[in-house]
Amino acid sequence: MKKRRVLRNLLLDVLCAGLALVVFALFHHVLPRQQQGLGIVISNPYQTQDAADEAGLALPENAVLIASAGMSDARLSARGRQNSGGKGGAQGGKGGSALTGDGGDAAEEEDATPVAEKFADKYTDTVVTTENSYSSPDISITVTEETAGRVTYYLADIYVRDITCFQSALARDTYGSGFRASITDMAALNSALLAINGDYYGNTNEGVVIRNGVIYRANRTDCDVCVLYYDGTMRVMPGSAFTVEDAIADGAWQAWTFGPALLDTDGSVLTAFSSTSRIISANPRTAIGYYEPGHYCMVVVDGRGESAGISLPDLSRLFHDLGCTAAYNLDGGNSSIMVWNSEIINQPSGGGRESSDALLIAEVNSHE
Amino acid sequence: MSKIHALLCHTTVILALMFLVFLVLDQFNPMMNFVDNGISRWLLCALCVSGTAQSILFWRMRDKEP
Repeated sequence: MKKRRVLRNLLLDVLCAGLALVVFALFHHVLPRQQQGLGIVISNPYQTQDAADEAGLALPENAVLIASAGMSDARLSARGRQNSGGKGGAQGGKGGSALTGDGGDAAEEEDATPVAEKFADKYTDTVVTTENSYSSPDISITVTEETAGRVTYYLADIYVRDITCFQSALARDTYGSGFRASITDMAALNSALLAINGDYYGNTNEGVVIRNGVIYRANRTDCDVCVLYYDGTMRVMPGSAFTVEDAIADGAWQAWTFGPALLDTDGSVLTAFSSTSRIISANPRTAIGYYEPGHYCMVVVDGRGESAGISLPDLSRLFHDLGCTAAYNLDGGNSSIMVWNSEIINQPSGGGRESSDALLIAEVNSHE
Repeated sequence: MSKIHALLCHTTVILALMFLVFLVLDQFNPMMNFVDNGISRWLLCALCVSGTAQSILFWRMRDKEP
């Protein structure tokens, strides 16, 4: 009789715990909750104010404009790139970035970074598309499907002349927790040529979130942070090394918190990761790689199916073999999705899932 | 008193079970931050209070036993 009573009580408690977990899940990550965020806007030092005003990227209501103090004043004032038209008719005259070299007059030509000239052969005067490539005056993308043993991965080799072509999208265009959308939808809404899932920032209230030049969150964690700057450089740093002041001074354009870093600071392969064996072992993965300003790659590895997935050390080796100098792991597992030409091209584990954000490559200037 | 004790027992078991689930989930996906978010911290606080109160009640009851 006593045994039965104990069992009954225990069963009751298990049921109550289950119910409490459902309520917890609702508040923790299911119910969408819009958040204010810091709303600090880091202005593009390579863009004229007029062009910035005309830019189509949405800013939060509480946005506070902050200049990127660390950038050269000459560049701030002289690098306007006057293009006609624009995405949705809203981006005409959008200023060029550090990576642009076709400013117009001699002074601007002198200001051009060597990057634009270095990759000049990658761009075309008009938009040229094939089944697996796209090139225009600002963007060059080549997508390939690669197989190595039991691992299938999709590699997007990306050149951008204007760093603002390297964008982020928030689900439902809203910063907060619990907001989710498919990568396909986010790509379509932002007219993206290429899209991959991001760091799923909405899963937690910790970490650094900078999207399209807006600092939404800057809570430092143990996780590595990946920062893409207006000058086209990308740096992966320990969470403890990130500061808002540095991000503003250096002109941060995007920052993600997931990780870990896949390459050492000198670009060498990492073999040890401070995570659980379950996380380190072979899984579907999404990651970004950086070669030099203007040249990046996105990699999505299929797993848990015909493709076995890839472990973090092997992913590190892959980026090293690709020639990247920095690489960063993003949300993986069922989230790993690559969208090219408006279609999912990989085989997402479990059919994939919606995410709170995406990384996009999209045109910011119209091209005939 | 016994009703309060019974309630505390249930609260402790429920909260403990929840945290066991959080810890297991955390092994699978630490980025979800199940263990160290605002709600979990309050739940952990409740678990500590409940456990402490239950222990005090238990000691008092034991002292009263003949």
